[in-house]
Amino acid sequence: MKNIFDDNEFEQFLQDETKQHRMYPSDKIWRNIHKELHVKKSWPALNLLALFIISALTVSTIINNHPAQPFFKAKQIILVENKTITNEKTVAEYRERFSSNSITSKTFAVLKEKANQQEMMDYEIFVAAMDPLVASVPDIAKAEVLLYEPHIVDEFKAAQTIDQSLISNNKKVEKEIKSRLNKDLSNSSGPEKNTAIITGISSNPEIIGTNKNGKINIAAALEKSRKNNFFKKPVDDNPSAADFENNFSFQKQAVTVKPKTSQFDIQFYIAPSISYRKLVDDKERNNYQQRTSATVGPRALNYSVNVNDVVRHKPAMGTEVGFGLMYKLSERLKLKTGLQFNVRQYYIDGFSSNGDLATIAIMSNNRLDTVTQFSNFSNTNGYKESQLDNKLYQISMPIGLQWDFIQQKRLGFNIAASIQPTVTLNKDLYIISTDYKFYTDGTPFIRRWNVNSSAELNITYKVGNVKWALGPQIRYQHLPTYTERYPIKEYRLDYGLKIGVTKSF
Amino acid sequence: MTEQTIIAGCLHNDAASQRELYSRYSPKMLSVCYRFAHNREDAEDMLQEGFIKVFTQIQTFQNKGAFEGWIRRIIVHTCINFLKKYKKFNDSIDLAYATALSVKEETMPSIMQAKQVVECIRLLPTGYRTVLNLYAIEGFSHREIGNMLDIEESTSRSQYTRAKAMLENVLIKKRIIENPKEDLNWLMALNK
Repeated sequence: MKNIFDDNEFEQFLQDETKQHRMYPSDKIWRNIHKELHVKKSWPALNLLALFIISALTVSTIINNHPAQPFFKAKQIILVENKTITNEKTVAEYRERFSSNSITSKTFAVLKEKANQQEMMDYEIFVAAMDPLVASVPDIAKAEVLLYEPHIVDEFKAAQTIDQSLISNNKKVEKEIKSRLNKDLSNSSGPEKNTAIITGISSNPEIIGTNKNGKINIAAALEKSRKNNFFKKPVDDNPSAADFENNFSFQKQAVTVKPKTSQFDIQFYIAPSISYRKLVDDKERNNYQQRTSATVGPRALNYSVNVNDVVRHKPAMGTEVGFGLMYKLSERLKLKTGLQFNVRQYYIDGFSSNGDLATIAIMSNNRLDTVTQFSNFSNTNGYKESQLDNKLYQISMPIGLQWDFIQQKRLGFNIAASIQPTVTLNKDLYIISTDYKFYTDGTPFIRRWNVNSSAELNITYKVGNVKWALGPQIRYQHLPTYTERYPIKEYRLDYGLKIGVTKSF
Repeated sequence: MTEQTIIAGCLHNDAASQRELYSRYSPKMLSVCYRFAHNREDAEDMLQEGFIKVFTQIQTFQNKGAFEGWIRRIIVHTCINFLKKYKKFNDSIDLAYATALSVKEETMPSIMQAKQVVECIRLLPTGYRTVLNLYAIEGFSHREIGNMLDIEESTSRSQYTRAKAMLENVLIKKRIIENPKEDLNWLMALNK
């Protein structure tokens, strides 16, 4: 083709034409750039999330290690060391669990360690105390004595209290057994001998006591302990379940000196929800406009149409997830607080456009100003249909009350309400221009702190030591999403279904 | 805000100054990116990448020459790197493409002409378009273009010649420029 331009005319033509060309980038480009350049400003949100997770983990850890439950804790030590054990409570199973195949040296290592740390219970003291006396007794035998003849704890404990050196001398004990029970152990050895020693001490605790020039009165010490109901009699060869439970009662007795049940409950929950919003165009701005002689502000300020009629917003799925601590004010009334992470969103239908100026009225210091921002998202027309997502990430601290108005053995109903101071974590929201024609970046107008309130009705069902809850909830945002400067107020409302699990500790 | 104030603010990583700089230059720079890109999404990605470089390398601006020109060079290089990175040069480069271009003949209002010229440039294959943008609009020499695109200088020249012919064809069909042959026919008809 013949060149229609002279030298350099073509280049000049292109430069002239392209110099005039402008395109307006979408808001998200600036947001991405800003995020990239100011990463540190995003950290508080992450820190809050991290705090939320750490708090939840800490609380759950505290529950699992609550000092008011030494019995369960101590039993748990054994159970943990025996991997096959479950929670069924039959004598046969207990026997099986603590049979020679189930008790391991590792179990005893753990118990001894606890004893050394002075965090022990009576029967743990026993294990530590009997160790020097019957060092050669197999661990299995020790465990059997521990489980089926717990009264021996008394003897050893008393002996240890009075004279530690006494129980460290096997020969003396043997001598006493021989003289008192007329049983010579000198020809026996190993486990057989040790079992005989234990049996001898078990049936005649004074064997130990009388070996110290009459200064020691083990029998009196034992009697005193029994009067205090510290130790129960041993189970017989074929114990019932009740006997077995009684066998452990010396441990339960220790528990009773501390609060039997805690006043606190912990709850974890999640609530999928649908988020709605209500827009209110602040009429106050008209007064502002009058004061400023109607010379400031866009013509659109005179619009009388209801903003809710000209926008196309769709509710969207959000969620709440959190944990709460409940304090029992009475049998049925609980004070509750906690931390909660919320996601609430709605969709905006509109059109991608080539970019235009969006005018926003600002109310401040008793006057009305306007700012203009670029927008390439139109509410009315454009080159293609598009959808924006107005999504809020928030962390709340609910403080409220729960009333268990029906409380049966398993089934129950409760109602609860709370006030929730809330912090908004993100700022990438869209606002509509004052003439309702464009959506643009709402970052400068986001309200950081807000207040929500919620109400809920739950049906509860107790399974084991946890209580499951399910029920509807409603959550309302009291202050507008945007600051007072932005005249179109947005209030959010969520309808959710809460699923929670509560445990006492 | 003066340009010097904006630059000083950006040097201190001030978000307001950065926003002002971005608002001031992003429409022009997006237009630059758009001429290189396959679509608007790619152009916005280029713009984002380019402005991040502008803000992070602003301390290298020596106050020699126009600030806009400095930004523009960064944006153009970002566009080229983007095209290389995502292998956007792979589409075929064929002179026959020029005649095969399906362009409706129409008359555009002059106010729309700048936009239409840009759209016509974007109809060219990526390789042609890139060379044409760099040489005719951005003012790089063929040697510089060869270095930037890892091609021979002579290749740059030949591609530019073809791109130019192709673009003229498109511009004529769009009636953005006049066809000299048509002018001649009109004159000959008068003479008869």
